[in-house]
Amino acid sequence: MNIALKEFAQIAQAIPAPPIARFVMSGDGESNVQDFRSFALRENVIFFFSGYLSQAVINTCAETIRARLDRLEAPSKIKRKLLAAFIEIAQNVVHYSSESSTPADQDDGEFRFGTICITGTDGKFVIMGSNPILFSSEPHLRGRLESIRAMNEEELRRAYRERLSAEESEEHSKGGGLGFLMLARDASAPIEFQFAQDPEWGDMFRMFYLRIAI
Amino acid sequence: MSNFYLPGTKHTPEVDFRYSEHRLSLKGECFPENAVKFFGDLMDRTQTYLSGLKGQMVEVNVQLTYFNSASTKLLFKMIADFDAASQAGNLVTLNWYYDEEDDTLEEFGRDIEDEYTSLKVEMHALSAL
Repeated sequence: MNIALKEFAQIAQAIPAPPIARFVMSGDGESNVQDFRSFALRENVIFFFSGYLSQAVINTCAETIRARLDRLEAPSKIKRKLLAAFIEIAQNVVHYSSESSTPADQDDGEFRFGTICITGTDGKFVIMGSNPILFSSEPHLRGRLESIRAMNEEELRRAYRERLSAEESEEHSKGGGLGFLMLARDASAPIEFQFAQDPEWGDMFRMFYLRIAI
Repeated sequence: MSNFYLPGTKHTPEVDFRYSEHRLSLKGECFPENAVKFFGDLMDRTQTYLSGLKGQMVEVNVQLTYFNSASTKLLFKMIADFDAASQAGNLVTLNWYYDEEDDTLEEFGRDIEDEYTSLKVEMHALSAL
């Protein structure tokens, strides 16, 4: 897991120059196109986005992903789960990314920075997401994810049912705490995550990485 | 009270709440940017409508292909209002439509059945949506 996330982190960052950036930045135009494409093929990248996400971007990306999965003739159950995971992760970035101060300050039409990558082949897919969060958000998020990661199928189902019926305060109304539970239930293995300090983002932030096998 | 209609978009469902005909329908995708805003207004109107009913038959049709986590929560909450209306002596039927291959949608329908025992829930499996 750690190796895959490190590679992902390199792809997502501008510094140090990751494979994609190296191909794009060097002067040899012809080989760049081929190298870039063969890299994506080798890693079985189906979808990659690094930039500012908004609802409009999410809608378009969802269409793109759906079309790509149709062409790959992915089983319909897998398609559904991947799309659900993509939307959940992407909307989490928009709602919880640290570029506004608190959830209460956010209005509609916000853009938030995040990176999402889907790789996969032969009916086995992985979706990875990363976005900056406030360092103060890490403990709570880590706690939630650790407890979810430890749950088996039955425990996940029970936790999901409890959350579904529970009364929620306005604070948590955007996600209801259900999002990660739903992701975990769709996943084919325990969800993986990591928090890392990122020199580009400084001490106030942490990069949050999530990796889900479908 | 006046009927409420919203055309569907790529990420929000068509809302066709015909209060005057006692037929309320939701159809399409459901991952609004702000589920609280989307459902909040709808739930307020619907609560007003339901509170004015007496021994009334109401038909609720839900045919959603996908709903995100925030919508899941609020949809469940809105259905609680229909259940309460049933408990208050009205006959509310919820027709739950889902793709026969979609376990998640089917399971949610069953969760509604389990939780809201006064509500009449009819499950409708649809083929090749």
